[in-house]
Amino acid sequence: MAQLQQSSIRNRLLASLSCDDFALVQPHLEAVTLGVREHLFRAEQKITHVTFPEYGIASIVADTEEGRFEVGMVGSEGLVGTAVVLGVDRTPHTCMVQAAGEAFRIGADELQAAMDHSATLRALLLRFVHTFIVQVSQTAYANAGYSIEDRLARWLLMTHDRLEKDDMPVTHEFLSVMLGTRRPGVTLAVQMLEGTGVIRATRGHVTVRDREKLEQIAGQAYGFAEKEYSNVFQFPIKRDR
Amino acid sequence: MRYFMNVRYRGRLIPDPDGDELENEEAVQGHALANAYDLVFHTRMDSLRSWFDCSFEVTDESGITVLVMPFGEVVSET
Repeated sequence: MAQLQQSSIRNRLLASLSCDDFALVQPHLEAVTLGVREHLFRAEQKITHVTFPEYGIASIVADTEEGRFEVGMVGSEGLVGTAVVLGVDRTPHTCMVQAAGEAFRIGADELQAAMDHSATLRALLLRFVHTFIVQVSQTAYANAGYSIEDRLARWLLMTHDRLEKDDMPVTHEFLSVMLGTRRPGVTLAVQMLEGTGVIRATRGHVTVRDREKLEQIAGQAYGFAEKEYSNVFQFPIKRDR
Repeated sequence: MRYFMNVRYRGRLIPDPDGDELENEEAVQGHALANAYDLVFHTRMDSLRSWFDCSFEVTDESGITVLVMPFGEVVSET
């Protein structure tokens, strides 16, 4: 098999590594596909791999007695398994694939060894962990202070940033997990947003029609985490198409 | 059996495209009440004047209405 070239990688973190750091992790990278609803790790079980999405989105969800809800999402801008970067091998959260795609993954022990070997590798991955904490904090802020329409707009924008296409495969059932709201509330919010012309909803799909207006609806719930990512990495989460 | 939790808001019917799998019509009542309770007390929605302007109009797979429940029932039950 031909050796994996760094220049052919889309994942922003792997693509940003120095040549030396890439050479450290490259022998351990394994190409995998991400199937919808596939678990990348489960609550309180050992995280065996850290995953770097190339395409698609993974959701970090909290599993509670009252149901599941999303606390964070990761696409090709980041990595799945931030706990490992921080030196912890399990978390109370679960990670499942929200939008199908492809990824490279590395064993948690191999990544730990590589980080022990290279301070610059650890520093780069920690910078992502910081931006992810900001994203999760913004989710908490949005949940505490914003309406279901605002939060739906925020979630659609975050998904749009990572999927790079206007037509997004999402059911109301799935949105109700993502937003931590009963499904009829999601159905109403989708209808209301559709009524303003910013999205078009068909069964199992939402199409973004007016991103600018969607950003206005999301207000301060969207943008802080995205700006912080740009500040830290000097490139935006959302790629140019 | 699949039941569709359609919502009537100030005369307008907002259809439920997905539906929920529930055992029977008895389960529909409890499910509707739990949903209405969470929406009324835990969900902020800007485009509705009040959740109490809403009611569930639950239909079965053949489109027959099996329950009409104004959201106000969550108050009379508590």
